[in-house]
Amino acid sequence: MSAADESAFRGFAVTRRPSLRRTAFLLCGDWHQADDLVQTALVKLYVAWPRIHSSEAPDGYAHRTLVRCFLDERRRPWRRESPVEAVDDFGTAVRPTEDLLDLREALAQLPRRQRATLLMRFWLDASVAQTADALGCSEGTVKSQTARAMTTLRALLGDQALVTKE
Amino acid sequence: MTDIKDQFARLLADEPDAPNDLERIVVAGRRARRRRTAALAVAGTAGAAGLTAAVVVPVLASGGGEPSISLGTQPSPTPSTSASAGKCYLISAPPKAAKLTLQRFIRSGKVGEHATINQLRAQKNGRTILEVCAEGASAQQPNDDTSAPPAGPPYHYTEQPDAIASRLAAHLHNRVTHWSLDISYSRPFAQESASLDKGHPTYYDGNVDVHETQGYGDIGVQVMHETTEQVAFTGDCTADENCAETTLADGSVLRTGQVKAGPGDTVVTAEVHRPDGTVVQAQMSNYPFGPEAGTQAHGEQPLSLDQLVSLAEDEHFTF
Repeated sequence: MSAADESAFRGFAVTRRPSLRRTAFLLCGDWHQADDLVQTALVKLYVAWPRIHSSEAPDGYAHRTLVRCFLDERRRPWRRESPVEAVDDFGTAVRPTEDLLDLREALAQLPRRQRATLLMRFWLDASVAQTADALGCSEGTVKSQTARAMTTLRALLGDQALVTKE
Repeated sequence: MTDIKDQFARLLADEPDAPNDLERIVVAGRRARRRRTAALAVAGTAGAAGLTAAVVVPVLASGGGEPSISLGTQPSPTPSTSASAGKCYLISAPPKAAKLTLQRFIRSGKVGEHATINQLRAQKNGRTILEVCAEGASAQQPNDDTSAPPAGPPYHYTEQPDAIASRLAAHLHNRVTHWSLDISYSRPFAQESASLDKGHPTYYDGNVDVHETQGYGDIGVQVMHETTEQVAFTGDCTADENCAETTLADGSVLRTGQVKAGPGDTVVTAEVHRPDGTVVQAQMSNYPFGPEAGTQAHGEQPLSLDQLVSLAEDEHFTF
């Protein structure tokens, strides 16, 4: 990579890292894991940077990569079911259903793809088509995943707890 | 009623300070990028790999029984005839089939109808090598000022790229086995293509993983020239907290540095900038680069710093 490209990458990483990190946290619920996710995504972005930098908006690419890294994370053999002393924030055991859970705990109860879909749509403001492209699924799947996720959240948080601006 | 986006934002109230790991990301990115470009270069050299096959197949499909050709995106071994912009391709074909092959390649649309064509030389096997540069990329003459590398002394390859790669790989293998290290994986030296379209000499990169008692380590060497656009690992030495710079007796500049590339991952670099413009970067890490990569099978650093520096200073690492 040329010095100019690398300088541009560094500039992008410095300025956009906070946004990527917050998205990563919302996906995984743990700041340490979020930092790992961002690091993995930025390394992938570095590899593709000369192409991405000149052909499309790197911010969208970086966020798509981040979401894919999150979805791929548990597929790695060394990530599977290792014993730990304490579960992470999103791993908190399910509370009795009569209690209304806060959003963080409610998000933890969503399947990973539903959580990713929800964040793409309502945190990153991605369109259905953009979300489908990022997650590698059909637009119909995005709509159904979004609906299921919102139904689950409303059941956990109460009907009046959430609205979307759609 | 609360907008869901506002609720998401409130979850971030306890955001801790971000780690200062940009250098770690850049180092890991460079290594990943080098591994990727090397794999592509090797695939191009093989001539039968995906990218090349994808170009060849349509040509052959329209002319069954014609002499086979091989196309690749290897950079020209003679920088003075490379294009100033756009992509150039090398076409190797039997002399009698060269014209037909060239016509078919141009019809494929990869270089446009106004491509620039140079006949480089005949190979030992009798094949002709043509350099075809994309539309809008004008091949330049050797004494054209704009074709000269931007800095450093004039540069000329003295060997074929394949021969350079083989020689460098054999020498690294000899050096490492001389230290009684057990090589578990060798990534062949490849002529990498970062400077493919700029008329500069390219650079070569290869590495070996070594199996140690506790795990694996890695030793890599990259041979560059000052006129390549490849970024030197140590960059601005004064900006790197673990970087030291020394001027050697022959005028070479030695830079050594150490960077943490991940949890428990450390990369140590020795980089020599020689007066003739050659830059040799020797690098070792306490984790593997080849098939064992990602298994967290960390070892110790396979070499001492002096041994690593001796690799960077080795005059056999040149091209």
